Amino acid sequence: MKHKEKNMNDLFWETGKDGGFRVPEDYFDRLPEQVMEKIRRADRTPVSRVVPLPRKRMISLAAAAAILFLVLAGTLLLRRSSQDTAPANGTMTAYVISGDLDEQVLYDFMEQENILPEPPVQSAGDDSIINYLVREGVDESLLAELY
Amino acid sequence: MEKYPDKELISLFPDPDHREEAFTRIMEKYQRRLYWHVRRIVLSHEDADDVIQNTFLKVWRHLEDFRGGSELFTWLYRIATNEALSFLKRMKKSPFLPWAGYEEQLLERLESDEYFSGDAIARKLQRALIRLPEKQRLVFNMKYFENMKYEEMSKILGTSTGALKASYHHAVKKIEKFLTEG
Repeated sequence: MKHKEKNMNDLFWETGKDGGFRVPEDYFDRLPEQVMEKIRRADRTPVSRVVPLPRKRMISLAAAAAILFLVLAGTLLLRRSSQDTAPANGTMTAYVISGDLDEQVLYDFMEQENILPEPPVQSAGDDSIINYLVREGVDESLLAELY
Repeated sequence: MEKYPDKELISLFPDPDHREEAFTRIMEKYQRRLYWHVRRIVLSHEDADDVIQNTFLKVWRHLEDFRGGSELFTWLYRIATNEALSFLKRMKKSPFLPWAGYEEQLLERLESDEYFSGDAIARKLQRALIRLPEKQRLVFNMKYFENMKYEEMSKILGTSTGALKASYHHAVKKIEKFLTEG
């Protein structure tokens, strides 16, 4: 260990034990005053009032309770206003939010708004059906029952 | 006889009329030792200046809480060490860290530091030291550069003297190896 330290000592001796580090001139003369100046500035800066923990917690709890009350009240009001008929224009959203939407309500709403999709297939009359079946090769004797 | 004994300065601090004077005396007494300790950790003067000023601000805020359970210098040294290590931690977490890692960033800051006049050997030595794990580098600095006793180091770092001796021994081996092979 001593031998290794001697090698390192030689190396550090070459570079100087300061290792090449320097400081600005008068740095240590100025440092205490610089620090004191920062301290005085910090002391002059107004600090926001520290609310004691219990009161702070009460305010937080009260705010949380108020928000919860508003949310619950809003939800209840929306539920009460829902009906089993097509909702008036602009209230479909309320149905969706409340979860009361069912197929009939949706259908009634779309019919009211004229936004029902065109049926994919036109309703066919009896003759059309029979002609179709004949073309498809169904035995005419079987079709006789349909006339 | 010490000009301003620590006990006296600490007892003057709570008095508003003597607070600033007492604190200035403490800074004048310990600033060089604390500065160089920090400088060898963070390397550049600008960073060391920031860290040492933050250290003293912290001391100002907490000196009244100092109960004298340890020597004043030990307490100051501990704060300075923690501030310097926190600085390195923030540097490691920086989103602007180059891909090479924070050791390279430290070396780059050293290279561009106008208050570093080391030659190629000095740079190589710093490279060897930076490669050490942080605590090992601390132990090496405190033992080799600052001639600190293991007992004092133990109070500052909260590590047993046996572990510190082992750490120093490993640090020396690694530096020697880097300098001869690197």
